[in-house]
Amino acid sequence: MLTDLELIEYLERLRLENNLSIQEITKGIISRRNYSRYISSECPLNIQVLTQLLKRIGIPLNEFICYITNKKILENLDELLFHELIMQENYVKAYTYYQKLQNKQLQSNFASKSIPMGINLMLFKMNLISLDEVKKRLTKILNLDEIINKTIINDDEIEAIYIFIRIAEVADKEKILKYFLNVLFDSKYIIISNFLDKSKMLCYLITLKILIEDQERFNNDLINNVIKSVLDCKNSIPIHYEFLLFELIYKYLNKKQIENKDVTYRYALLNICFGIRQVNMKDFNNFFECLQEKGFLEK
Amino acid sequence: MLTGKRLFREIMKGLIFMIVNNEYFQVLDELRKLKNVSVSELCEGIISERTYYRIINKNTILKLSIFMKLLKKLNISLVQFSNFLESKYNLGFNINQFIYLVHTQNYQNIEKYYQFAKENCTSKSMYDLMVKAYVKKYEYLQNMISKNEYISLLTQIINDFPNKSIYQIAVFCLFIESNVDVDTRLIQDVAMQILNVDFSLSLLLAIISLDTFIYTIIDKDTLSLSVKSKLIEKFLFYASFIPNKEIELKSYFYKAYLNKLNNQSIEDNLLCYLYKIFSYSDLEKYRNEKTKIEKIFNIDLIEFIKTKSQKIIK
Repeated sequence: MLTDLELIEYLERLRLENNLSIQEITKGIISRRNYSRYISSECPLNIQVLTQLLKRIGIPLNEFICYITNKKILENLDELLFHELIMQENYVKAYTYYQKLQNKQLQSNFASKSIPMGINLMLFKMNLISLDEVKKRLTKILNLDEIINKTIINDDEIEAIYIFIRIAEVADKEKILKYFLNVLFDSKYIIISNFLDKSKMLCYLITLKILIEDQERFNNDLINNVIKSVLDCKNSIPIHYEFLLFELIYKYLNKKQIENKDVTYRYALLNICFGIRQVNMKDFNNFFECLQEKGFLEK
Repeated sequence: MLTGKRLFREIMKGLIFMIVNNEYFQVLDELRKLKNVSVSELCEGIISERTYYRIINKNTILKLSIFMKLLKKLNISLVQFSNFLESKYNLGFNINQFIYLVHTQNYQNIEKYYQFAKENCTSKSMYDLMVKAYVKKYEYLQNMISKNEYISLLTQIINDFPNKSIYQIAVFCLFIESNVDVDTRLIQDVAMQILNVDFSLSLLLAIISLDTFIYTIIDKDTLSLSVKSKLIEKFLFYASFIPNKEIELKSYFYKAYLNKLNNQSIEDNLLCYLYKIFSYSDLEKYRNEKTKIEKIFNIDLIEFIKTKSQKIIK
C-alpha cells in the first residue's frame, strides 16, 4: 500500500521533473519548512494539501494517481506478465515468471485474488497439485459468495472469476452466470477497473463461455440476446480475447445454423491474420465477397 | 457541498483543491455500503468508529494515509477509486477518452467528450494546454478551423507552456504531424525529448504521442534508422501494458517495420496488422492506410492478403 512518504516522494519527483522550486509550489499553500517536514515524514500529509500542491504543478489528481500506478506497473512488470500468461492459459511460460514472484510481496492490482489464484491453477496444470487441491485453494481465495452479494465488482475480481471458471463446478458456474447477467444488463451494478473496456468484455466472455459451453440447459433467446449485445458493443479488447469471443459465437451460430456474414467474416479474418485455425472454403469465399462489397479489393 | 456530477467535474478540471476531505470520504462511505462492509469491519485496526463518524460529519481532517488504508481494506486502489467516480456518476465524459477518440479518428459518440474538454480545460495549466491542442485537432479534422489556423494555434499553445513536459511533447507531436514544412532540427529535438522523457504520468499519452510522431516520420528520411528503432522500441514497451486492440495491432505494424530495418521477414507481423485495416468500415481510412503500407513495405496489399490467406484454407 502507498504510504504518505511514497506519495510525497512521487510529488517531489514530479516537482523536479517540471523544474519547479519548492517555493514555487508551496507559496500560499504551506511553508517551505512544512514541505520539508512532509518529505522527512515528520508531518502526515492530507488530501487537501496534496491536491493544492498538484494544482500548482499543473497536474490533476487523477493524472497523479495514474502516475503512481504507472510507476508501480513499471516496477512490477513480472507480476503483470505472469498474470497475462495465466489469463491466456500459457502455464508453462508463466512458470518461468513464477520463480521471480516467489518470496516477493505482490504489488499490482491483481495481487489480491487473480495472481494467487493463477499461481495455484498453474501448479495444478503443471501436475504439482491435485484437482481437488486446486479447487479448494481457488474457492478459498476467490470467495465467490462474497463477490456476488455486492453490486460493485473490480477488475481483479473479474479476472479472478475468469480464471476460476476453468475448474468451477456447475453450481458455481450458474451463480457466476446469474451474477454477470446482472453486471452486464442491470445499471445498478458497477464495474470499477483501470481498463474498463477490457473488464466489460471479459464479463461478456465469461457469460458466453458458460452459456454456450452448456447451451442445452439455457434458453436460445437468452444466448442470442447476449450475442447481440456483445456484437453491438464497441469496446476494445486485446486480440486474444476477441478471438475467443468470436470463436464461441461463430461455433454457436454454426451449430444452430444461423447465418451471420459479419461474424463469419470477422472470424475468418482473425484466423487469416493470426494463423490460429484453418478456414473452410465457404467461409473463405464469404471473406473475399465481403472485401469486395466493402470496396477493399480495388487496386 | 460538492457531490456527484460536480465532484467529478472538479476533479476532471483539475480544480481539485476545492474538494475538501469530506467529499472524498463520502464517496468512500458509499463504496463501503456497495461492498456490504460494516463501519466496524472497515475501521478495525485503522481508526475508531467514532472518528469515522466524526469525519462524515465534517469535523475532522482526514490524513491521506488513513484514507489509503481504508481504501485498501475495501480492496480498492486509488485508480479504481478515481474510476468509480466516473462510472458511478455516468457522466459520459472523460478527457482521456476524448484524446483517444481523436487519435484513432473514431468520431462516434465523441461530441459529449469534445464539449466537456472544450468547456473545462481552459486554464493555462500544462494538462489543460495539451487537452486544448487535441480540441483544436478535432476541430481541424472536422473542418471547423482551417489548417493554417490549427498550426498557428498549436504554435501558440507550445509557447504557452511554462516548461518542458510530456504534455508539451504531445503538442509538439501534433505540430509535426500537421505541418509538412516543419524544420528537421525540431523533429530531431522532439525525437530526443521523447526518447529521454519519463512518460509515467500518462501511459496513454505516451502511446498516443509516440504513435503520432513515429507514424508521421516513419516513411521520411529525417531521422536515422537507429533513432527510429529506439522510438519504436519505446512504443512497444509502453504498448505492452495497455490492453487495447488498436494499440496491440499498431505494435505489429511497427514490429514489421523493425523487421524491415533488420532485413528480416515482415510478413507475419504485417499480416497481423492487416486485421486492423480489414476491420474498418470506412473506405477512405482503408485507402489511406493501404497507400502508406504499400509505400513503406513496397508490396501490393491485395496480392499479399490473397497469397497469405491461401495458406490457411482447410
